[in-house]
Amino acid sequence: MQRYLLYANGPDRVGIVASVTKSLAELQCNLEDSRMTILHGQFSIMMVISVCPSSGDGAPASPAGDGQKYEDTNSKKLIENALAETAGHFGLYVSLVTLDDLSSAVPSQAVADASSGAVEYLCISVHGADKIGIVSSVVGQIADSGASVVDLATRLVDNAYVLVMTIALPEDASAADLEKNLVRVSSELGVSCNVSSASPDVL
Amino acid sequence: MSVKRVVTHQEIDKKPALDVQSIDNFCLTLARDLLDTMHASPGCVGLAAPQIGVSVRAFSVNVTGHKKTKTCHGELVLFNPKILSGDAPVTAREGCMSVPELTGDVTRFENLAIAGIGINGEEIKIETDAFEARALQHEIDHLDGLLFLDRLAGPGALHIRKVYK
Ligand SMILES: [Zn+2]
Repeated sequence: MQRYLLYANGPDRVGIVASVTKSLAELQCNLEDSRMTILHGQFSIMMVISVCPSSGDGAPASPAGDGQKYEDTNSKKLIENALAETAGHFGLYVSLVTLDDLSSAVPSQAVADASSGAVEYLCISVHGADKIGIVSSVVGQIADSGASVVDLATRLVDNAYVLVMTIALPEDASAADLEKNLVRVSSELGVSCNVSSASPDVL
Repeated sequence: MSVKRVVTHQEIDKKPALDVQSIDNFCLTLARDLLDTMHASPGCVGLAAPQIGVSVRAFSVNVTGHKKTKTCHGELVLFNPKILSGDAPVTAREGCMSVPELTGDVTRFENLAIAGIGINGEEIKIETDAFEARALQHEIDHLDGLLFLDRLAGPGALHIRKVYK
């Protein structure tokens, strides 16, 4: 099994996702984790894909279909070639990064499961007039507290800036101290900040 | 005492579960199994019969002591539950024993009235709110073959539960 991280972006148009995923499906690529969104009119794709070598049990048939052996070593070339037509048609920038097994199995720093009580998830939203340094100031406080960013999105509409993120706070860190620091930097930046629990309740 | 294995979302029956006709020995055993399995599962506040592989409209709930609980009816086992009314939708993050890797932001009624049959065959009507209302709606969804994954508001409402070591 070989994994790749696929990035693609280009001007938003109807059919980008259909075309990219069709090319990948024809190569027997499996879409694993993915996020796709529009960033300032650019349709942006990031996804982890995996592909099995054709040799061995249960492996997919050769996508070439002409007896050509589908070697793991050239799967990257095959995927890039298959996406080239789509990229040309839609004006996409495409980048394929090889993930080794180790890097794909260890995606983030060590924090434990929230349901074990060893980590608390918080949702932080910040909004106000746009200026340089909002994200870096807010995230700096989060890094200093020992928490890690799990998910983050920003939107700039006219001059209004919105930052929303989920962070994982280890049990030895203080949510109250972090909130106090976040409120302080937010008021220095002239933006408002809200912290709420994002720890799930298991039902 | 019979603790059952909680089935995963891949194994769970997606068809609506069946009403019981009366509270017979099968129902009493099912009620015991639901409670035993719930008690044996750390942090578990509710369990629906399809989660232990029984496609029958029954669940157990106990939100006693949970920090988000307001109104609380203690340990409940209910058959053939029906939602009578609900209002004040609230969105919060929930997980499920049958979906161990993911959580999601789901909108549920804050205030809820339901009716069903208790283990002694009696008609039970429950008016509740907050966390107990959320738990009851989550369990009733299981009886309709629905998971919180079916209730997500959008791609931003889906979250990983674990960040791997
Ligand atoms: Zn559940």
